[in-house]
Amino acid sequence: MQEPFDRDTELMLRCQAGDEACFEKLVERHKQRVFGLVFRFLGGRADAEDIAQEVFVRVYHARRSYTPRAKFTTWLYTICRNTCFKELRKRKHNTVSLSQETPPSGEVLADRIAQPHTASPSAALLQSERVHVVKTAIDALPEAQRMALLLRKYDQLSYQEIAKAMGCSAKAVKSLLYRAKQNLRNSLAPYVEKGESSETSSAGRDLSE
Amino acid sequence: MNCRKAKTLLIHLMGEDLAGEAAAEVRRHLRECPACRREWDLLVKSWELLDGYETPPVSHGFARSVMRRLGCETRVGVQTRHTPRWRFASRLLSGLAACLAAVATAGLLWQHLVRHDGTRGVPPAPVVPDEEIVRDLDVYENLDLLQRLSLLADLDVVERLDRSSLTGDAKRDEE
Repeated sequence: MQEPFDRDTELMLRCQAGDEACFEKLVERHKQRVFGLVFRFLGGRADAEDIAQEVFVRVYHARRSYTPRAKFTTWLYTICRNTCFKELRKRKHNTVSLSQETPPSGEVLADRIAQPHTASPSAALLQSERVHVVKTAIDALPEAQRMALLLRKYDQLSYQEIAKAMGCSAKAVKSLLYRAKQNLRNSLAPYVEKGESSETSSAGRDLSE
Repeated sequence: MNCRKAKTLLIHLMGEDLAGEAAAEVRRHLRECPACRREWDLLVKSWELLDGYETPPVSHGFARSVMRRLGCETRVGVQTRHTPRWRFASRLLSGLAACLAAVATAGLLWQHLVRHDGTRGVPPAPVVPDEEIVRDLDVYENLDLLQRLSLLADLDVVERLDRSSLTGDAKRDEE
């Protein structure tokens, strides 16, 4: 007996048959995860939504090539990854040197991250600073490491699923993630240590009081 | 387990890729070694720091915008359905023109080479009338004679002189 398709596959098959309403439903179901990946991968760009829309336009145009053998989300992530990489390449070609920021080295990044912004009184400001630090550290990662990390951390994909989406082996994904975590640790360590020391000093102050 | 080995395994442990005895051994080492425990804390806290990076919610009209874009693209696709054929034809024409230009250039070059290279291009033989050939042949055969013509003329003068002097002497004797 044939196994019933999951909801996404069913919608995609109906879309293949010409039902555009089903495609709209698919967009509704996956828009946030696609947007999230694009947004984080491209460093929080203002046009991330446009690029996320581009991903769905590509999905629509490639609908005939979809086969229900593959999980729909894996196929979607493959298209998303290709679009992101293409966008990044286009961005590199189009950006003139005046606006292009050179990728910071490990030490420079550590210095930048360790800037004494922690004196901010507001929790919102602290959160915004954390996001900035994390964003800087993620942006500093090489493209493949960044993509693997985002798929693993924020989309909770398995190694196999990441491998399929990225067109490489699961072993290669493990290696990419290992290096990404190592790079992140090196970038974020000054910030983490600074946070620890300020916590310790405030704790010390509390104790003395 | 030494610290070096433990530090290489920490990331695997964090990613839950390490199981069984190896994981237990690293955990045991972490309990005993403050430096490695500090490294472990750094790794875990760095990883947890990523949780704070949230994305803004996508706009409400996102799906509508996608469908609108698709509608626009479909219309554009219908209008320009024949574009690839025109493109193909123009490419074919430009290819043919390029081929013709290449052939013409090669022909010109060949002609140029033939003119300058004597071994390849032999000029056509001029047409000479038979009379001229016979005359030239005559001249050639009597060249030796012609070259000595002045000598012969001198000899003729001398002979005439001798004859006249001889005839003069004979007349004088008769008288």
